[in-house]
Amino acid sequence: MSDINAVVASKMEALTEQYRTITRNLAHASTSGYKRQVTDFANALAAAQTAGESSSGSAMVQGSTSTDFTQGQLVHTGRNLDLGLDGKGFFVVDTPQGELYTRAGVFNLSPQGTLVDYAGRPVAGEQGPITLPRNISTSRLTVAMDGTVSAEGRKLGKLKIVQFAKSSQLEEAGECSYKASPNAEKVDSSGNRVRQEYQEASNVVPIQEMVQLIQVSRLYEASAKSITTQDERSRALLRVATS
Amino acid sequence: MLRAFSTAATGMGAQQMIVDTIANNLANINTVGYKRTQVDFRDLMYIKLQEAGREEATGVIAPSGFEIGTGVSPASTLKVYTQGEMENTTRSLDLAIEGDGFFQVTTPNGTRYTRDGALRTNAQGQLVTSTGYTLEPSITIPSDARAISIGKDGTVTVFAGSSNTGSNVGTISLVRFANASGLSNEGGNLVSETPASGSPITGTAGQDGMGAIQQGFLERSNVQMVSELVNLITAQRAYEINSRAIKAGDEMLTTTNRLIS
Repeated sequence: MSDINAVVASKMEALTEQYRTITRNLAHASTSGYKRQVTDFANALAAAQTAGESSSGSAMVQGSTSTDFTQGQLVHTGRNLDLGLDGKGFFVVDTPQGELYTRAGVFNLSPQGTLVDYAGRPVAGEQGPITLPRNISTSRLTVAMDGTVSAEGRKLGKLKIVQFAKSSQLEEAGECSYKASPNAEKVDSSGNRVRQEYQEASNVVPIQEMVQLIQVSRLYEASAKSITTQDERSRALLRVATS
Repeated sequence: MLRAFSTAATGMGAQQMIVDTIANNLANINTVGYKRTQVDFRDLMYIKLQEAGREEATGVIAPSGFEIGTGVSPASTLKVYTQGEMENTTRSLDLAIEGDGFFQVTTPNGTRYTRDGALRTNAQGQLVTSTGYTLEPSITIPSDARAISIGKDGTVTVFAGSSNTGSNVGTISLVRFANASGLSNEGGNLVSETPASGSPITGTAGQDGMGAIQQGFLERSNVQMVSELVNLITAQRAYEINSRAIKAGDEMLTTTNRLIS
């Protein structure tokens, strides 16, 4: 009896976590390069039984989050340092802690003229950071679809685009960027196209999130109902036992 | 649950900021030299509830973890420095910069920069902006000037009295910055230098990446009305959806409360 309540309570906890994921996705409806999070639930009992350790009657629900790397829509902004990626690759940002991967291509120039992300970290080119010479105007910087950066006919470098074999190997590093272990398998990224003057919009589909939200609310209600039903049964039992 | 409320609230705050930015862009659609603002967002820190790679049971490694983000925050507001539309006013002291660059002006708070070239002369004959700040370096127009010609490189030639030969009274110098988006907006069509923008790069107008000066023109704003209105509608709907999420969470909390009645 108390076991059932514990199971239902864990379900309600899990639904609460799913609700948190939904609100987070909705909060990022306008964040460029954001990839929505998906909550999956696994039956922990099944996992434990497969490993040979079964705990009696414990069907606790556990959740895990994964990232949905579906392509977001490319929106034209007209800003010449806005880059949108069409494909499954990532831009690379160099940090002292290693490489970070991101789809958010809203870039700037540092005071020295180097291509940097919003936090001032250099964007990796195939031969190192990409710098615009001082005597060329910023508006002359062009990025070709294969990632080649040039200005007034001079090639300044080529953007490093990295694509992974399994997107599940990427770990969220915050600020719309991802980390990967050094031996994560990479695949050929030449199919990716870089579109200048475009931003990749968030891949959150509000309708999907709202439908999930409705499901979560109703399931939550149903779970609460089963707890109250349990409660009534216990009371009835107590009445019989003590009468 | 309550954490989710603050996440959704940051979402509404973000949409509010977009609306505020759009409102400012639209209000300045006719301001000379105005550059539209674009807001950029990032997600906030993550709370790791369960680590990926933890052992579920002996020998069973969880393939993914459980991390919940805490919301969205604005990363930066960017001024988009694309060329605004050039309006032919034919006024001899209206100047527009075609390309990169800013006029330098002297203000009581120091040197400032502007794209607003609607100039006039003050009582001493110096070239000043519409708010009265003198150009740096200062250029004085003699009081008997009947025609002023300003070249693309900034040379100011004055035709005085009945003479048909012009005399050079100075050159309007322009400066530009490695990262114009990093300039700080002071209001009054003025911007100032910051560590992010880099120090001003001097040069001759029309050469080496510096824009050219066009006399008789004014640069209008680069605000695109249609995109701003489309963004406004999107922001409004996103705001609404975030508020619905809060409402749904509220109903769930109420359900929980009713368990004990």
